Amino acid sequence: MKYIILVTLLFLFSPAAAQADHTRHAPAKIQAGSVNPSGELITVDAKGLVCDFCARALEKVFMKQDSVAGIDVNLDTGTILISLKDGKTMDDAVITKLVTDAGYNIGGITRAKGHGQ
Amino acid sequence: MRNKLLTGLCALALMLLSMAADARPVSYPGGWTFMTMNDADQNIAHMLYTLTPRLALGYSGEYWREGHFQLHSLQANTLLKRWNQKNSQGNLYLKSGIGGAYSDKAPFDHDWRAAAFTGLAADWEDRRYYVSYENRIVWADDIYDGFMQKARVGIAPYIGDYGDLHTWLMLQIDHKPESEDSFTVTPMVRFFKGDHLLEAGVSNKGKALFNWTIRF
Repeated sequence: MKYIILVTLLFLFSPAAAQADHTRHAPAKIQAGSVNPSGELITVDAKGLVCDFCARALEKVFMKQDSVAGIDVNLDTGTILISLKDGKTMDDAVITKLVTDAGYNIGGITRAKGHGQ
Repeated sequence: MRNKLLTGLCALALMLLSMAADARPVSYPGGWTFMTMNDADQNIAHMLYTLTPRLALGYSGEYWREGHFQLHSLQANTLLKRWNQKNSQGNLYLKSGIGGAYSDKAPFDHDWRAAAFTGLAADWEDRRYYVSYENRIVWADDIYDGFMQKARVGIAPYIGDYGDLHTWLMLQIDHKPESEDSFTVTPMVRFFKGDHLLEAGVSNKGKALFNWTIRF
């Protein structure tokens, strides 16, 4: 019985419990690098994107690319947002390889230029 | 008291509805992973380098408390199959190692023996539930020869966004058929944020569990 109480207390007093409400209203933000408002913005629909700890791989592999200004992952929608530097582009084949190397499958890729965000 | 405890743990498991494992034993090409896992029976440290999306190689050092021996191995983790769905992911891994076992306990007074291990690890998770199973056969000549398996179930009490502190409540069941008391049940809490993952729990035998993983 004491173990059940211990686990319950750990949950109740964890920072996670306090965060629960905040996360429902978290604003869109970019986790690595920055959004380049004048560069191409690529949205990748990914499959298997459920774990934050595992999804760190996406940051690591994309931020190594010279053309990438920033990247963000949205676990709610299963999408990856990639902001490119001015004048840079990234082929679908390259995106597919990087996403696959990080452990996910591609559902689709959409692009927007000069999004002004 | 013991029966009540086991009944309570079973009830907790049912309440949790389902399902756990090491956090992705193969990460991304060029990525390093350091893991340390500590419980009543063992202290383990892994340093792994992911060569390809399907293969990670590294060193594994273990101390087995009950058997009084060390196991030092070159470890290879292979991703056999991954199932990516829109809202879930499943993985099947083969984890193997070869190296040597060292014991300072009689009759193996400071002796080394050839050693090897292999086993399968499977996991499935979505953003709310998690389940895993892992088994392992370890051979270290006349120092140790045995089989072990473990399963985990977990539930996330809230769904965090990317970058938040994530929390999982988990229940781990270890089974070592050779041991006198072959089952160990460990309720635990898993936290992860960024590149760090922490797990802490206390088993039904009153022993602590502490695991830490970092990726870089």
